[in-house]
Amino acid sequence: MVRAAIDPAATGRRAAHPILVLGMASLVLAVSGCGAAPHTSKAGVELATPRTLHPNLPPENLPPGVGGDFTTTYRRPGPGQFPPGSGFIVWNLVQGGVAVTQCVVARVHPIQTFWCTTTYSLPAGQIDAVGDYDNSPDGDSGTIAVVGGTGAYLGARGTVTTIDDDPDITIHLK
Amino acid sequence: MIEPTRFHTVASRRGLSALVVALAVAGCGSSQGSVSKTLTLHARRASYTLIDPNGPGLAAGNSFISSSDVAGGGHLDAYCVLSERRGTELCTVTLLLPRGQLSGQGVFVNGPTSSGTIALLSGTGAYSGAVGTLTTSGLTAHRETLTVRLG
Repeated sequence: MVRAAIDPAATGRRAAHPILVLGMASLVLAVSGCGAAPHTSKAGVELATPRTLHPNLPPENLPPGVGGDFTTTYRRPGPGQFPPGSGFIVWNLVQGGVAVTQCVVARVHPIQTFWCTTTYSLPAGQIDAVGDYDNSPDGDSGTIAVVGGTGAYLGARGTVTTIDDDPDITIHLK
Repeated sequence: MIEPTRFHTVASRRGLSALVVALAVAGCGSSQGSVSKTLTLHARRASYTLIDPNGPGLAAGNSFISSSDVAGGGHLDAYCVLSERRGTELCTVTLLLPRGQLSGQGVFVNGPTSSGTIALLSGTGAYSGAVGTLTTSGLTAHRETLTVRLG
């Protein structure tokens, strides 16, 4: 189960939340060597499929927007409160690109669920993911669907997975 | 217990273990998304929140997020932004079922009823890579019939 704060003000430390990681991961993109037989995409970029990318959390204590996260929350009635309709958008400079995540709380009873969308803008193209998370106490880490991409990732399908408090994000592309 | 100061990233595996969907979805486990399947689901709205930074009501630029419980297990979350064109909404929908998630996106032109068919773009778990369509009888209705066509 993954539990981590996304509210640095409330927690007094920088966020290390896996959902934020979706947006703020420092991508160590060892794209090559992850796949099977390569082929050429419509964009003319050589692809190797399937591929698994392993982005990592950025080092801690970096200034916001430099390597760490930069989070904006909205519709929050007070610190630490996330009613339905509230959410956040977070972006992070990553090696060679940027990752942006938006999440909106959908409900709070009986479980808190939130809808999220993430785009990883990487040197070889963009990867888009959409999905749903909840905070079920006996749940697990989150997996959302890759719904598409551009460039080397044109037409990409797969999943983005966070595992417990592991700083790695796994993007598996079919 | 929900801790409002914290988001907990937990997704669908809880549903995998705890919920049973009375639907014949066994064929969807190929993870190829190529098997044609039609699922008919019934949902009941659990939460609807209008996000109205551009003024009260259904003003352009406002959005809403709704969440519905799916009979048999799972839920549907939808986030829609209202356009300048009357009744036209851009929506992203995720259907979380015991065997995985399905995410889709599209436009409804009959808001605020928001019924119609949008594209399913991808999924996770048993629906990994799935494509198809999602038809709803009304995204904002208290009771909603969903038809998922895969493949």
